[in-house]
Amino acid sequence: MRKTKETSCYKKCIALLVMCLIASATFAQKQLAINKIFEKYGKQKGSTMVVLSDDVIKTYRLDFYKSITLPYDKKRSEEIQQSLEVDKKQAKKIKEVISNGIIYSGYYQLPTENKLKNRYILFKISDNATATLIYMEGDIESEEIVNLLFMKKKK
Amino acid sequence: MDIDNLLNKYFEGETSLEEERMLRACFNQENLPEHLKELKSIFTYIEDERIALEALKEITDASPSSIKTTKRKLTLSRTFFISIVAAASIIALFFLFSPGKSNSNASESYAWINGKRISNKEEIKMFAEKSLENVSSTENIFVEQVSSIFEENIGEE
Repeated sequence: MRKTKETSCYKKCIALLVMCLIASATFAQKQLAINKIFEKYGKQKGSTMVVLSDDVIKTYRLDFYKSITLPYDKKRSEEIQQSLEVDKKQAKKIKEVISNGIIYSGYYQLPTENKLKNRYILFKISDNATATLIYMEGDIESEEIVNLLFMKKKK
Repeated sequence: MDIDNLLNKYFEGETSLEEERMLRACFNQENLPEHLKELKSIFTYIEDERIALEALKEITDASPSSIKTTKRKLTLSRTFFISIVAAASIIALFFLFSPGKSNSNASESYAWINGKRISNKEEIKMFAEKSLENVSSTENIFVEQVSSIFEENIGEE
């Protein structure tokens, strides 16, 4: 009888442990690899990082926006390319231009997260040896992003 | 009492515990009379058995404490296991609700330009628009690649 109780207790503990591990793994998955780029290079000299999360972006139906423009040397190039490779595995829509195995421009629509937000990653290497990486989330649809980008270029 | 009388009494089953102890002690002696030597094995066997029984009794008496130790060990290992599970839960909760790691943790707008923080809204907006301009593309890759294929074909002709 006592043995049965002990076995039951162990089973409960193991179940709890497994649930904890799953929760941690799920959380780790939610974290984007590109976050490292923002954290590492965002405040460095030569970089421009913008973080928007207030009313400024509500007009674009966005809840959160962050971008980084940084000099694109070999080390950073490798890190960014690796991060994009990791994050694009979970993307549901991918549009990219790859040359010699290097992503020159990329558009990635990620699966919706909490509160049914759309999430996007945009990336482009410019001619002046800089790279721009953008992460945004909100109700904005992919067509609206295209319009937004086209509008900016037209100006 | 004479040993022979005591032996007769023993084989008739009338000896007391004390008398039997005396008999065993007697047969444990080295210089036994010749006629008693053949009986020695009986009483040394009994003595050996007595020693064995005493040893067994000691073990039996000692067993509750050993059970206690095992139980204590079991309780300890369970406590240890539960502690591990609790620690894992705390770590998991920390990860789940950690404010610093979220993708959208900021509650205000700001920009870092060349290592300097800027909070002027107009400036931030300008830099945000600039970053959008950087990723926008007027190049139509499809048209560009198709036209280059046609150009190559024309060149071959």
